[in-house]
Amino acid sequence: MTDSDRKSLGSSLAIVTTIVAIIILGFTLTSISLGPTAYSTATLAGFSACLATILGFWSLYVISQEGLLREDPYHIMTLSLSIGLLLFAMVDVARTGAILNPTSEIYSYTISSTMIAILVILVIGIVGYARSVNSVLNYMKQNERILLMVISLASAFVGLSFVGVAGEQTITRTFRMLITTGGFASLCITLAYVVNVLRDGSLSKQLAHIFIGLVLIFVQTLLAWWATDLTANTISSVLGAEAYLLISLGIHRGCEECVFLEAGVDIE
Amino acid sequence: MEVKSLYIIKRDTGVCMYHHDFTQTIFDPQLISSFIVAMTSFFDEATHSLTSQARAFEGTDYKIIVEFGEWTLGALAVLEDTAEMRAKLKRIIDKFEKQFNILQWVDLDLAIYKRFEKVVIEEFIRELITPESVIYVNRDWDIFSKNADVRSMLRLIPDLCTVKDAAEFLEMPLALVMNLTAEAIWEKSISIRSQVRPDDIFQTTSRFHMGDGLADVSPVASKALGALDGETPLIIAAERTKTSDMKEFLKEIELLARRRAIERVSPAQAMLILHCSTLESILEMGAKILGYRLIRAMFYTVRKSLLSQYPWVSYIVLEDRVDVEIKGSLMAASIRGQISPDTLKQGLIQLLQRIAKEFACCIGNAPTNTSVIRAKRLAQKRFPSMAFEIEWEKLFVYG
Repeated sequence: MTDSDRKSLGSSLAIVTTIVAIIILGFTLTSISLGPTAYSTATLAGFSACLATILGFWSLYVISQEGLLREDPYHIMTLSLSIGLLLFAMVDVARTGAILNPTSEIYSYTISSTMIAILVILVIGIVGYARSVNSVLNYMKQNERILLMVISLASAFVGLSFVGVAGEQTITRTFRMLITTGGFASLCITLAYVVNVLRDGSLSKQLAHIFIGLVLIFVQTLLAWWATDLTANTISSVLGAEAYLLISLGIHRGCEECVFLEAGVDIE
Repeated sequence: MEVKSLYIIKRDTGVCMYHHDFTQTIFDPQLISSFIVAMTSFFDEATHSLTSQARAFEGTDYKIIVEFGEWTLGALAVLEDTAEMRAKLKRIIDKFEKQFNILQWVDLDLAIYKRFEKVVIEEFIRELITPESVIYVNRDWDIFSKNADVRSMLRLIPDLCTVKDAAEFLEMPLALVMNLTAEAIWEKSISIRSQVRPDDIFQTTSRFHMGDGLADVSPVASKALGALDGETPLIIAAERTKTSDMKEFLKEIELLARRRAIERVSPAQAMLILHCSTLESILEMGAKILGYRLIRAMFYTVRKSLLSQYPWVSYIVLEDRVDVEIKGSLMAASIRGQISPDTLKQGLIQLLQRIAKEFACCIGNAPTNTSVIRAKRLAQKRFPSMAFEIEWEKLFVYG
């Protein structure tokens, strides 16, 4: 693929993202207003899974132009997000199964386990990048790190307050919920710090896309644990799809800038 | 001293009108002037050239460089033929012709030696003296010294002290002591050597490779010699060899320098290394935020924009992520003095400035300025006495 092909595809991605987002929103509003059924909700979850798969592979292709594995904090972050997108696809596939078979626990287990795996990968990428930025700019002091941990734990327990503790299965489920909501909350706060420090530059726009995507995933995580009716599942799938689009756009904007400069064209 | 002798010769007659030996006398002035005029005439005849072609003659451990004025020619016996030395010789010739213009047509006793002395001291000696220069008083200084002020100074100061120490000891202004030191060097009453500083950059000479001058050198210093590649400051070389006593290490380096086993790099080379080290620090910090791919693309874009103004910038490349590499051609030019430190400074500060501006577009002004401050601190650590050569205020981004 030539540089001009990449450029035109990249510009199209923003347009495609907007169109897909409008379609998803339209479908969701229609579904909710007419009353969601198991099949409409499952369809949306399946669509979200496809979207995550496509965006995940596309992001991997875009960032692997100079090699997939590099000792480069920014690249590791985008790589972890790309792999995360592919794993989110698995989560949405499992969610589809859970919607169609609400009594089966195996899907719930698959979702929560995969979310923990995603969390680990994203922590490696995002926290690694934040540490790298902090090593240069020293924006986060010791006190602020402690505050970050406190807020993460607090948000995890906020989610806990919505779940009744009864029986061994629920305890296991609760524990997984604590990890995922607390983990995603801390990722959001970490990235928010980085976006705030770099707010005057063009890089903050890319990171802001990823940050908003992570916030939507955090809300999705809370919603998934809190409510399991069809409306909640519909909204959950929509949030997921929007989040994947935003994360992918954030990754692509970063690579687009590299391509432009490498082709001898300055980005304004 | 790099300069051994100066001769100013009238071209028509071949008579040496002015000469001075900065160290011991090498040639009889009338003999050398006849030789140079004869050789230049020979080259002119051989090449049928209207402009004189002869430029330099080489001996075993000296070179005689020749520059031409309107009615005089100047010859300078030096250790190395550099662009800087030629520029000094040209300036001296121009000043001589301007001051003693009448000698072009008539022979008069104009007390040339007395009247031109200050000009030569200013051009060749004054700049060698810094507050940290170490004064070595020669044994028979009272035989050589005629200047009363110089004699008074040398009578009081210790045999071995720095210019700054001498000023403090004598309770005199530093500038005055520096002028008196210049006079004393002129009279050959003293010699000065620059103190070896931790941020000096040395490189090994052919004498080192032949094994000369390495007797009674400590194992630590011998190990550190391997790091003296003409690009590493002494402080870094000492760190790599885990030297505990920096003072002792510097003394041994000074001893090796006196034995000519190692030599200081040229000012142009030192300027190049200082700026490239800073460039590497800034690129490394940028890569931690923006990623290596974007930083490399940014560097090459900025470099491309400077090629028309400073073509030699194309010899600075990035190898293996953001490791700054200076290609052999540029390094050789800086070693030989074919490119001046000021030219390098102008071009490299432009490069750093534009990269800082590109950073600011991506990450904002405040983070860019923070990175510049960190780079400055790192440069001050690695090059304590040279870091001020970089115009840091030009790298900060505002508005």
